[in-house]
Amino acid sequence: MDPRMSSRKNRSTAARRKKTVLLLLATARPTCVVDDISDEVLELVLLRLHSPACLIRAASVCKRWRSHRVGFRPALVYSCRRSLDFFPDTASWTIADSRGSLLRSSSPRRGPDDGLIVCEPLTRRYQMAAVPTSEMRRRGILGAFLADGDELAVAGGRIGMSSTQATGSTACCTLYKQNPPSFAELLNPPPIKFLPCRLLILD
Amino acid sequence: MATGSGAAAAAADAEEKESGSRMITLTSNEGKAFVVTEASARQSATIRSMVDDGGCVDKGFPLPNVDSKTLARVIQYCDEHGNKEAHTVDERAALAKFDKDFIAELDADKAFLYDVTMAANYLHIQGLFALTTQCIADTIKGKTPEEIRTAFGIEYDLTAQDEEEIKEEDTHA
Repeated sequence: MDPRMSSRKNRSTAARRKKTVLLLLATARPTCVVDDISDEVLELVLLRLHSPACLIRAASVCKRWRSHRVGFRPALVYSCRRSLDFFPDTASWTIADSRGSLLRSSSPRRGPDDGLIVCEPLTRRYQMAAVPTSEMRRRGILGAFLADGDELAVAGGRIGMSSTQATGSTACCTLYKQNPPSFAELLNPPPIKFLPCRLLILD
Repeated sequence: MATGSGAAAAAADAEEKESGSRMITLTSNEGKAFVVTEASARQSATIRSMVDDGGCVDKGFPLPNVDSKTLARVIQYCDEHGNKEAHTVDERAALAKFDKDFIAELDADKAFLYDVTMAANYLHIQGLFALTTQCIADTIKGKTPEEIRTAFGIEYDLTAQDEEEIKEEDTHA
């Protein structure tokens, strides 16, 4: 056989092979395949959703994701629905604000007992604010919101409940002396007067 | 003059730091070697424990589960977080900005994002793993199951029985 022919044939075979390889590379990942993620990591991703509604929707995506609901449903969704059962008189309290692990609830009732409760469902602890809502109304304060960690640091407090002190707590809520702030203002509070209040431990 | 000597001092300081820290070789599954500072490698708890246990630092660490492209990107993260200080507000802000840009770039290439996530999990790089898993979770958030399937390229494979169960759960939720 003519050696030139042979070399040309080799070249064309090599070119074809190269083309095939390129095609394979192009078709190797037609779409982003989430199956590249292991079950363990997928579960950790789902746990980052932090929302029962999102978890339920995620559990309706496909068989594989559905199989993980057994892992997260009782742990999260169930506890979210039942997490406030350690409250006294649950029905009369409504959730007014939440940040991190803390929830602030206020009672729609008027009277000497009404006020604010800051609770931590994770540890099933709650504390009632020393400033009742009736006092807030008298002073013209229109709302109370849980503060961010940075802001609490300014007030000498911290987010989360402290169990180091037996008689008081460093957890505090911030009382805004203005109309209910917008969401943007809540995220980036303007320099307004706020009263960090100590919360009393009930239990 | 003052600034000149300051810069010289800073350079000398950096040099001292450089010579003081060991270099570690990480090898991808394709056999490509990456030389990184120890501070950078210590971002990985897996490597950190091997180094602390007196592992073969000189021979380097083969990483059979990580390809070169992924390893290069992981090292980019480790270099930034391992070699830079995060004491002042500005330094922390710079790192936060790096993280934001880093994840935005990864988010545009989902397949690569999953590879980096798996590598961060394998190497136990806590910060990077939190960053990538949160990014994936954020893609899921607020979407209907159908939108999630589209976003992740997942095929619908639920049976009629699964659908019945889902309906049941929805009424309880």
